[in-house]
Amino acid sequence: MDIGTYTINLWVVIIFGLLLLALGTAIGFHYGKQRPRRNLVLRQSNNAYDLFAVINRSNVGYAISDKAGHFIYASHGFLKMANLPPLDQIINKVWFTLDEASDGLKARRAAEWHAAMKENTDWSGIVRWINGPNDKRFFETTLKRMGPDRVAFIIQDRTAQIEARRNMEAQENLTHFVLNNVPVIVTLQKPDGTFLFATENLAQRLGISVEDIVGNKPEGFVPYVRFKKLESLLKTVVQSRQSIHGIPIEFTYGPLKGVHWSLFLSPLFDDKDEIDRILIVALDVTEQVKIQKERQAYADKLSELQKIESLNRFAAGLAHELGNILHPVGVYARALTKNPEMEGREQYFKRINDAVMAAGELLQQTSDMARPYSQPTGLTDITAMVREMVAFVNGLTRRKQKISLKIPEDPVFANVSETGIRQVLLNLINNALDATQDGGEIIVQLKTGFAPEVLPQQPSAINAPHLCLEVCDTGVGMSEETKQQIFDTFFTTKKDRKGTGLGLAFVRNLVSSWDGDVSVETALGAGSVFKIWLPEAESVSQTLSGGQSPLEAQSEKHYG
Amino acid sequence: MAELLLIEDDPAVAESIIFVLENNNHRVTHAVNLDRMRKILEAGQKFDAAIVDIWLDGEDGLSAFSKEADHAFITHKLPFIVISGGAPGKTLEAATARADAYGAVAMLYKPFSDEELLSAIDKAVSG
Repeated sequence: MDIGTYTINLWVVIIFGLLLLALGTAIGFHYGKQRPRRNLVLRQSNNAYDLFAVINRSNVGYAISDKAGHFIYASHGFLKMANLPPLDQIINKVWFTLDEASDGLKARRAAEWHAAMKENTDWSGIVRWINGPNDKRFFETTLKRMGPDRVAFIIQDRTAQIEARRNMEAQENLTHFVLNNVPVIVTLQKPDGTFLFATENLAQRLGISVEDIVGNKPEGFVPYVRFKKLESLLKTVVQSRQSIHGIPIEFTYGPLKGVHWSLFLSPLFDDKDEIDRILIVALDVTEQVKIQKERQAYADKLSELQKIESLNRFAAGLAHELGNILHPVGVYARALTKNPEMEGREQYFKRINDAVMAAGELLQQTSDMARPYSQPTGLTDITAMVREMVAFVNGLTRRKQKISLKIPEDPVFANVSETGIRQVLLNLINNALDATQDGGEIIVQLKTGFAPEVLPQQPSAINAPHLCLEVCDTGVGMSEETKQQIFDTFFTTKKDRKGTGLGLAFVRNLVSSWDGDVSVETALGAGSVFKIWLPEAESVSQTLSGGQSPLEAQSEKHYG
Repeated sequence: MAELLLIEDDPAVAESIIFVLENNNHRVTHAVNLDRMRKILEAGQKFDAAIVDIWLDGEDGLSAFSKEADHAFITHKLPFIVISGGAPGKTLEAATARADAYGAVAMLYKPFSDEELLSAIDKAVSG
């Protein structure tokens, strides 16, 4: 399906980038939660002095206060981390009021402290410590009751970790925000189809929540919808270990009925290089599909109208011609009825008969026009056909013009109907003879090896070299206006019933049924060149030795 | 008897129309196209009415004709009858209405009867 491939690719790149960020964030959390608790080491030590010396040099501080929080002792590390003056200056001061935190924050700390003391429990948590407007610290703090009025607490500076976590949270929120607001659905699934992640818009489309989706297979949350196509796509990705891009999928029933998606599946590998997850991006292309269908329907309608229009013109042309032919018949028949003994009546009977014969000929040509010529009957040697036809015309003694010939020595084959191509050439030669009645010359020329791109109208369906059969005359030529209408049915420059206006329309029909084309170059007084373009075919003998049909043999060649 | 100018490119049709008109005591001058017609009129020959065959090719057939004919028929105050074999994509009524609008006395579609032609000429000459 060709629906803005560029845009789709861009989205896929963005989504993949966001997804990597999201995965990174998730891994960060994982390690954070598995962190070992080191303070247990203290109790197991037999040499407290040494241990405290080590702790003092590390990023851990400890202190002792009374139940109200008045400092009794603080380690060097504690004072340094909390940016406090020497111990003698803060002794008997309430430890959690000594930073530059707001009064509100200090009040909340006091409430929390007193609650912990009242319940007589140990406490651990994060204390936000404000050393100054641009220096906020996060201390992981553990309180331990040491006696009726003694509390020991240990602080560990976790600022870097907490800030990193906050950044990751912000990143994750951003990722989720973007994923949930771009017009695509993103999921992460196990090879068996179990959802590990899904954007909210999928849940919304299904009328459920993301929690219903994650941890389930599709049939777990939309039991009445079969996801056969999705299953087989997952299988393909697992087997091929390759991404799949732009697979169209249409929902014909269920909550997504009428929705068209374009799916992108990409395998994600674990550290053993096994596929453990598959990333799926679904673009909702319902609108594009709708527009495309409307466009197709419009094109069909237009082509229908063009057919009707062309039929209409053909019928009107035929009516006009028959009107002209039949009108004199009526006139003479009425006159002869009125006066059967009319003088010179033989010539009027003859007029009537001529008209009937002319009408008959017109009808014959009309049915020739309508005959389907779409199937070429086989390979025809165009050079031999041209030689024969030109010799035939030159042999007609009543013609005063002679036709000269410029054609290759070797045979040139085309996949056409032999009678058809004769009629085409005869039509063009007749026109050239008519155009040169008052003098001029006619040349029939055959050239080969043209690339399909040089075709005058539309590129040919067949990627083969084309031959060009030209009928050139130095006769009266045509005006631009005449040239524009020359291939229309019933258009003729010949009066006296010499032309029906069907000849060139017939030529064009026939040539295009052989995947060819016809063109004309002309100017008033400068003669005309009619060109028949046809795909060249391999000769029969070459075809047989190659073991291919002529069309297959052609399509493998490259020209241009 | 009327002096008539026939503009008709089909020789067999022209011959049959002349046959009818001459049998009914009219005199006919035949021009094979509008160009010949203009030359005859400019040479100073006088007529009572003209009969013009046109091929109403699409929407513009009659317009193109009218540009050519306007000058000739209006300058020479010549009533004219349009004869035609039809108009693709248009009903005959619509074509007739347009011919009316251009000032044709009548519009006849081939094949037409002798009486239709003669009564149209009567109308043109007496009108």
